[in-house]
Amino acid sequence: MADDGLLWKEFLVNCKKQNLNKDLIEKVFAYLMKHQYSAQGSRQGNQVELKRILEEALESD
Amino acid sequence: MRLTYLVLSDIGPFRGRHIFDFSSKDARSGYAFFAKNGRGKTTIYNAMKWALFGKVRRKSKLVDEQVVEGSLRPVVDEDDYDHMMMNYDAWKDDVPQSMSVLFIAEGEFGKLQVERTASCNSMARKDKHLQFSLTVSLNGTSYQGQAAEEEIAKVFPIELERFFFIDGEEVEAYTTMMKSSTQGIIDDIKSILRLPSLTRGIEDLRAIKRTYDDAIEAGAKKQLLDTKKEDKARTLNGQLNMVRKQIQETEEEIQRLQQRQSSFQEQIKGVAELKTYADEKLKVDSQIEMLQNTLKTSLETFIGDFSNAGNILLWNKLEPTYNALAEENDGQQNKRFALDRLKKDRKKVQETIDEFRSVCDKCHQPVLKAELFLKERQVEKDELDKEIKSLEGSGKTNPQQLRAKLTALETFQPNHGSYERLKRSYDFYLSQNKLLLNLKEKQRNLSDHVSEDSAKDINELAQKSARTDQALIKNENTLRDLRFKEDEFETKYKTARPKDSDSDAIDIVYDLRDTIQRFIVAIEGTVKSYSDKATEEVQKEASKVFLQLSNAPAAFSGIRLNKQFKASIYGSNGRPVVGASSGMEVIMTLSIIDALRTVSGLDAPVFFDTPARSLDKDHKNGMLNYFWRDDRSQFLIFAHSGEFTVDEIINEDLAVFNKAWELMWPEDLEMTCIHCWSKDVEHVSKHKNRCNECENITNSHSRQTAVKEVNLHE
Repeated sequence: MADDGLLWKEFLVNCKKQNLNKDLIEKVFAYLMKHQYSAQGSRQGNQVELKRILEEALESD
Repeated sequence: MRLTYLVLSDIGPFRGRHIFDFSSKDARSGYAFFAKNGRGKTTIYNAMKWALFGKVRRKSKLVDEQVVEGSLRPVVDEDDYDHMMMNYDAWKDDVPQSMSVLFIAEGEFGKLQVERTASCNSMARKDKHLQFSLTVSLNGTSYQGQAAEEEIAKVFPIELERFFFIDGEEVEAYTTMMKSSTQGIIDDIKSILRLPSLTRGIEDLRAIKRTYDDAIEAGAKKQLLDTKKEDKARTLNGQLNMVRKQIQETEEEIQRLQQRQSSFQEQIKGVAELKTYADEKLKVDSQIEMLQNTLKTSLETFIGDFSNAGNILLWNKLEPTYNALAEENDGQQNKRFALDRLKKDRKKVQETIDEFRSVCDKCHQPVLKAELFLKERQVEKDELDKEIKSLEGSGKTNPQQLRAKLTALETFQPNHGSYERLKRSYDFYLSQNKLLLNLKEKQRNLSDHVSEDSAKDINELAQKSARTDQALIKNENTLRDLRFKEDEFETKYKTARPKDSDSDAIDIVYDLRDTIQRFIVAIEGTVKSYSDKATEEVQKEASKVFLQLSNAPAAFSGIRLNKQFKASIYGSNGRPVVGASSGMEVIMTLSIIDALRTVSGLDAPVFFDTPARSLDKDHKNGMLNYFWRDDRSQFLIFAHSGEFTVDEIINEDLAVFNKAWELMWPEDLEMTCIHCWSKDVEHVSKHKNRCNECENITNSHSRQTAVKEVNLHE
C-alpha cells in the first residue's frame, strides 16, 4: 500500500497544521499502517512501540 | 502482489496433490479456471480462503433485504460428507487422513508462503478430531500458530476479505448492502480505506496519553505533598533551632555552674580543718535535737506508766489476803460439787433397795441370795450418809460474803505486767537522758574549736556547693535530653524535607502529552477530511469504471456515494436511476469494489468466483476487458460453463489472460487419459479405459477432478 496515497497526504496536511515534526509524522504514519490490521491482543505491545517512537523523537530534539 | 503457486492436496474433488503455477514473466493480469459445476472451481476459491483465514463459510443469503452470513464449512463431517472440504476418498481410505493447501505469493513484503493442514492419524468424524497446523514463511523466517496468523493478516487482513474474494453468487447481496448502506458494508469500506488504522491510532495515542496524564497528576500530587512536606519541614526546622538555642544556653549554664563549683571547692579547701569540726558539730547538734525529741516522748511514756504505781504498791500488801480468800472460795466450791455427787449416789442406792423384789416377775421363782444383796446395799447407803454428814458439818463461811470480799479486793489489782513496763520506761528515760548529757558535753567541746558563725558560714558554703552540684547534674541531664531532641528533630527534618524534583523529566512528560494531543487532533482531522475526500475519489473512480463496463455509457453520469457509503446509479440527466437492471447493479458493485481498491492502494489479487453470473454477454465481455489489463492486479476468475468457455473467450478475442486451466472429470473427456491427456486409450471393461501411453487406468465414472492447463497458443 503506497504511502503517497490519499490517506498519507491528508494525514500529513493535518499533522502539519498541528506543527508536528515531519520525521515524527512519517514514523507515526508507518506505525499506523503497520498495525492497522493487528489483532486486539497485540494492542498493548503496539502501544509500547508507539510510546517509544514518540519518546525517542522528543529526546532527540 | 501476485499469487505465484497454489498447491492443493486432497481437498474437494482434488484427490492427491495438484499444483497450480501462476508464476509468469508475462505482465497480463488475467487467470481463469473453467469447469462445469462440481469440478472444483469453488473448491480452489475456498481452498485459498481456508489457507489464509483458516475458515470457510457457506454462501451468505439475502433474507428480506438483510444479508445473513453463512455457517462455517466443516473440513470433515460424517453426517454431511457432501459438503465437507476434505476429499471424500482421502477421508474414507487414507491413514492418516490429511488435507492441505500451500499458498505462495510475492510482493513488496517479499515472499510469503502459507501452508495450512488438517490431519488425523485415525478416522476423523468431525473437525474436533482433526489436528490443524499452520506454517508461514515470510522471507525465510518461519512462524507458527498465532504469530503465523498475524503475519498473514499483515498482507491479507480478514477485514478486507470481500475485496480479495468476490463471489458472483454473493454480488447480489453486496449490491443490496451497498444500496441500503448496511453496517457490514460500511465497516468493510472503512477497512479498505484504512480508517480503522486512524481510529486505532487515536485509541493507542489516548491510552499512552492517559499514562502521561497519570504521571502529570502524580507530579501535581507530589508538588502538593512537597508543599505540605515543606511546611512540616519548616516547623521541624524551627523546633530544631529552638532546641539548638536551648542547648547553647544549657551549655553556658553548665559552664557557669562548673566555675561556681570550682570556686566553692577552692573555698572549702581553705577551711578544710574547720569544716571537719563544723561538720562534726553540725552532726552533734542534729543528734541532740533528735535526742531531745526522743527524751520528751520517753518521759511522756514513763509518766503514763507511773500512773499505775499506787496500785502496784497497794497490791503488794493486799495480794496475800486476796490469794487466801480465793483459795477458801475454791474449797467451798469443791465441797459443793462433792456433796451433790454423794447425794446422787445415795438416791440411786435407795431406789435400788425400794424397787428390789425377792420373787422373779417372769418366772415367779424366788431370787437367789436376795437377802445378801439387800444387806450389802444398805451398808453402802449408810456409808454415803456418813460422808454427807461429815461434809455438811465442815466450813461455816457464807459463800456470797466470800465472793463480795474478793470483788472488792480486785478493784486494786493493777494490770498484768504494769510493774515491768514502768520499770522499763523508767530505765529507758534514764539512758536517753544520760546520752543527752554526753552529747551536750561534746557540743561544748566542739564549740571551743569552731565558733557558731564560722560553722554557719562553712555550712552555708557546703550547702551552696551541694546545690551547685545538684544544679549541674540537672543541667547535664537537660543537655542530654536536648541533644536527643536535636537528633530526633534533625532526622525528622531531613525525612520531611522534599527531595529535589527532576524538572527536566516533568518537562518531557508535558512535551510528550502535548505532542500526543496534537497527533490526536491531527488524526481526528484526517479521519474527517480523508473520509470526505476518499468518498469523493471512490465515487469518481467507481463512476469511471462503471461507465467503462456499462454497455450504454451515454445513459449514465456515474455512481454516487453518500457519507454512509450508500451507492446509487445516476443517469445522464443528473437524477438517480430508478429500476436499474440487476446487471447494471452488479456492474455498480464491481465498480465500487474496484474503486475502493484503487483509492486505498490495495495491491492484492482478486479471486472472483462465478463472475458473470448475473451479467449479459456485453457486460461479461466488458468486465473481462476491463479487469484483464496488463497494468492491474492479478484477476482470477472461476467460471462455469454457462458463463464462459475457453472457446468462447478465444473466439470473442478475450483471450488476454496469462494462464487458464480446465477442471474435468473423466466423463467430460471421451476416450482421453486424465493422467497424460493422451487420446490413445482403449476400453478395457465397464467404465474403465486404459491408456496405451502411460498405461494408467481411468474410471470414467470417477468424480476426481483432473486439471488441464489451457494451451492458449494452439
